[in-house]
Parts: sequence; structure tokens; C-alpha cells
Amino acid sequence: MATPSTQATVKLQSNDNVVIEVERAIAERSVLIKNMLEDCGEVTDAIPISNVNESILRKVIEWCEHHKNDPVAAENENDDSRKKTTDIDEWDQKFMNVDQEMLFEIILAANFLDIKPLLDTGCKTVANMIKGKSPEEIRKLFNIQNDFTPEEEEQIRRENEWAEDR
Amino acid sequence: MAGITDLPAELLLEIFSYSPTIASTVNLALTCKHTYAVFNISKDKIVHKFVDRDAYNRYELAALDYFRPESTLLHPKQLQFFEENPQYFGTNFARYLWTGFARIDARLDPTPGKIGVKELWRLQHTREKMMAIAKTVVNEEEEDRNKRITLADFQLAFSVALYQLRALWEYPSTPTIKAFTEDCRKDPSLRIPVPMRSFGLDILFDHSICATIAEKDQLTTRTVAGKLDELREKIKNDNVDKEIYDVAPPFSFVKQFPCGACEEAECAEILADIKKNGRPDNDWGGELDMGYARIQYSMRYGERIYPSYKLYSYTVGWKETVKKDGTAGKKKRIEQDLTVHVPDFNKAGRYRQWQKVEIRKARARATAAAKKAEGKAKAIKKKNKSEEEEKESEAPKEPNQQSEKKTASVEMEEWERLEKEAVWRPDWEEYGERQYGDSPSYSEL
Repeated sequence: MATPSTQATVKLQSNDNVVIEVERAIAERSVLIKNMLEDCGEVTDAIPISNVNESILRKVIEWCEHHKNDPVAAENENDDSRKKTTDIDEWDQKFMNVDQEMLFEIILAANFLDIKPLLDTGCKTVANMIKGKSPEEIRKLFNIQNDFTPEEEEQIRRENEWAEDR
Repeated sequence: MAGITDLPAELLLEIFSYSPTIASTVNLALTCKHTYAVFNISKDKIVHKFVDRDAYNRYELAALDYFRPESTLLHPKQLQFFEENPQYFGTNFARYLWTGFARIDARLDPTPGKIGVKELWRLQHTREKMMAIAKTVVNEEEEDRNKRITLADFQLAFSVALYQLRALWEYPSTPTIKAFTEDCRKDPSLRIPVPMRSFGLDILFDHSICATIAEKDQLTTRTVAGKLDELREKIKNDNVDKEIYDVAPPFSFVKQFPCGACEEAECAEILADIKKNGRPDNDWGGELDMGYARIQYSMRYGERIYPSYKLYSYTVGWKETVKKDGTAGKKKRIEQDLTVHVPDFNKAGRYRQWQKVEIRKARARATAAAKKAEGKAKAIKKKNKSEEEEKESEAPKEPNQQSEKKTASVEMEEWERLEKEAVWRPDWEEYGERQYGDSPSYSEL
């Protein structure tokens, strides 16, 4: 096992080959990077973040910087209790006020880097966007192509009638 | 460019689970096939997470729609089997009832509240017919009664089925269901585990029995649940065919996707299919050996609430075997193959195919009848030629011959018409009309 490192910063390399230096504590908001650093000890080379481009990586780092002092959620924290609310704090709301493409890229990056609170925020943002909207409105919002035939659509609508708001 | 449909299934599921209301979750699911497929993977899990209790309860009620009226009826062939072999009626009744329950046709209108008078009547009629058989069995073999399901149990089972139907009919304003739902709210232990719910018996023997008795005796379902436990205990102690009440073992064999009870590898396989093709593979099924009845089951994509089953063999007895060393060996099953008799109506086109065969047979019968009538007429004509010659000018043709010919030709026309109109109709529709006569009026029910 590697000895614990006293390294203050780490370099992260985006998939478009841009290297960004960040405080280790900030980078360790990502469970993926944290585990990697714990396993490897001192890392001088840039850590390749293969699935994330520069702009998204900077955005994720911005989020991590803002939340660097947040308590780390326990691994066995009850998922259900976390998901019972869709409240998002004000800073996060502004942070997530981006175009849809970036929003989904952030969600994908948070998932890849294993940053649960950021993933939660992203999913809550999307969930809030669909709240109160009909399937047609959601299609329009997310530019989803309706690939159901009218008969199929009618059938699944009937099957799921129980879920309609009353 | 990343869009919502580009998210992997697990992330879409995350979003589903964060959705504040069931309505918005389902609305997102209904946007396209991909989201709908992903939603279906964990429908139960997603819905169970909701804090929206009202919608959750509606989901629970909608689950009752799995057991629609036609599914509570026995197939006429099964009914016939019992009529011919009443000795098998008691011990296997519950299983047969179950297979009847399980035969759910996905093509029928699943909308709650649309159950008609005909269906109620059919159920009632089947009940009466079965009751008659049950009475015969009980009266004739009083001594063996302990080995069989009792008449009262049987009556209860059918009452339950009838209740179930009425509950659906009155949906969603059935007071008993509401009361039960209320009790479930207070005591989650009363709820039926999701993987079990899909197979009917749990609801048949728990949910509805409780609710039926509760309604009848003006009790809470909680009290009834306690009473039912007492009854079960009594049955166990009395050594009455406890297997009937022991519903868990057969169902544990079933790997139902996506209830969470399946093997992880299989889930992964399905997920891979969804990623690759945007939907899971269509075929998902297997065999279920229930001890007496062997069942083939399958579930189709996006229709996990409509499992289809086919009873394909029935154990009519057990043969003792002897090992080489002279000791008693394993009991060997004597089976009656029912495959031919129970067409799989759930598969598209099968019913029509089966119907066409039936029509062809009927047409052949009609043709034979017509030929016979013609032959008979010729013979009579020849025999009475001289007399006929005398009477030809004054007497009309033999009325019997005329009517026989006419009947045959009407029958032919009728079947030709049917063949032309060979569109799909529910099987019970046809059997009901042919075998049971006209539907009764609403008040008769």
C-alpha cells in the first residue's frame, strides 16, 4: 500500500489535453481521484480524466471548490431520504443554470468522477425541469423524438393512467 | 452533444428517482421508447420510493388490474376436465384457479373500471358450475373430505374472485379496497411484496380474502388478516391439504424481470440489451413446475404486468417405482398432456390460427352433415320412388329433409361468415356465448 502523501496540489488532464492544477482537497471531492491518490501515493504526472473535456472539468472543479468544506456523505447514507427532496441551494441553482448540453455533461462527469452530491444536484435540476410537464412538453424541452406509434402511445398512456395527477 | 436520452440507464433511473411526483416520472418515461424501457426496469422500485402516497396507492390499486375478469375463469377445457375427473378437483383446484388467474390476455383493455356485466356473469356462472362439481365430490366422498379443499374454502376462493372483479368494476371507489389501502398505510407489513404481487395468489389468498371478509363481516382487514392466519394454522394442524395455502414455494422458482429477484447476471444481460437495442430482448420466459401443473410462462418487453402462461401438462397421478434392489424408488409422475387443448392466446395471431382451425373443423362437420342429409334424402327418394311418383303432383317435399338441408346450409353460411370476419375476439367471448347462453341482466348479478 502506498504511503500517505503530503502533496498539496494535483494535476488533472481533460480529454482535450488541457492540464489544470487544483488543490488536492478539492480534487478529492471526487471519490475516483481520491481512491486513485490513496492507491498511488505521490503523483507528479497529470491524472487523465478521459471522459471530461476542459470546460466541463473547470465547471466541476468550480463546484468542488465551493463545496470543499462540506461534510462528506457517509457511504451508507440512506438513498431514499436523500431523494425525498428536490430542494437545491441557491448557489447550486445558479451553478446549474447552464445550457442543457452542459447540464447533462456535468451529470455524466459527476457520475464518472463519482461525486455523489454533484450528481444529486444535477439529477434534481433535471427532475425539477420536468415537474408538472406533459410528455409532449418534456419532449419539446429535451428535444426527444417520439418513436412510439400512436397506438403504442395510447396503450402505454392507458397502462399508466394511474399515475396522472388528480 | 449530450441529451437526456444519451444518459446511460442507471443515470436515467437516478433522475426518475429524484422526480418529485409519480406523474412527472411517468410523463418522462412516456416520452420515448428508451426512457420507457428504462422506467420499466425498475418501475416498482421507483414507485415505492415516492412520498406521494396518494399516487402510490393508486399504483397499488392499478396492480389489481393484473387480475382481470377473464383471468379468473377456468378454461372450458379445464372445466370439462374437472367434470370428467372430479376426483382431481379438490386438491388441485387452487392450482387450476391460479392458472386461470394467470391467463391474462395483454390485448384486452387494461383500463380499470371497464369491466362489464358479461364478465361478472361469466365468473358467476363458472362459480355455479364449479360449485356443482364440488358438491358432488364432497357428498360422494365424505370420508376423504379431509384430504381435499373444503366446500367452504372453495366458496371463499370464488367469492374472492368475484369480489376482485367487483372491486375492479367499481374502481377506484371500492370502499373495501380503500379501507385496506388505509390499513396498509398504517401498517406496511400488510403490504404484499412486489415480486409476489405479480403472480396473483398472494392477492387472491391474502389481500382479497381479507378484504372480502372485511367487507362481509364489517371488520378491519387487519383483524381479518389475523383470522386468516388462524385459519391457516388450523388447516395446518388439521392436516388438510396445506399445500393449497402454501403459496410461496412455486413462485420462488420464478425469475421475474425486473423485480429484483432475478440473478444479477441476467439483469446485466437485459441492461446490455437495452443499451444496445434500446429495449430488452422480447423473449423472457421459462418453465414452472408447480408439482401438479406445469406451466410455461413468458413476459414480453414493456409488459411485465402481463405475464402469459400456458398450462401444458397436468399430473393425473403418481406411479410407484421399484429399484433394482427391490426397495421403493421415486414416485413417477403420470401426466396428461394438455398442450393441444390450451392454445396460447397471448401470442399474436395464435388465437386467430386456432380459431381458423376450429372454423375449418366446424365447416367440415357442416359439409358432412349436408352430405349426409343429401344422401339420406336420396335414399328415401329412391325407396319411395313409386309412392312419390303417385303423390308428386299433390304432396310437397318431405319437410324433415328440407329442414335438415336448410339447417346444414345455414350452418355453412354462418361459418363462412365467421371465417370472413375472423378478427380477434377474446376466447371467453366465444365460449361464453356458445356454452353458457345469453348474458343475464345487470339485476341478476
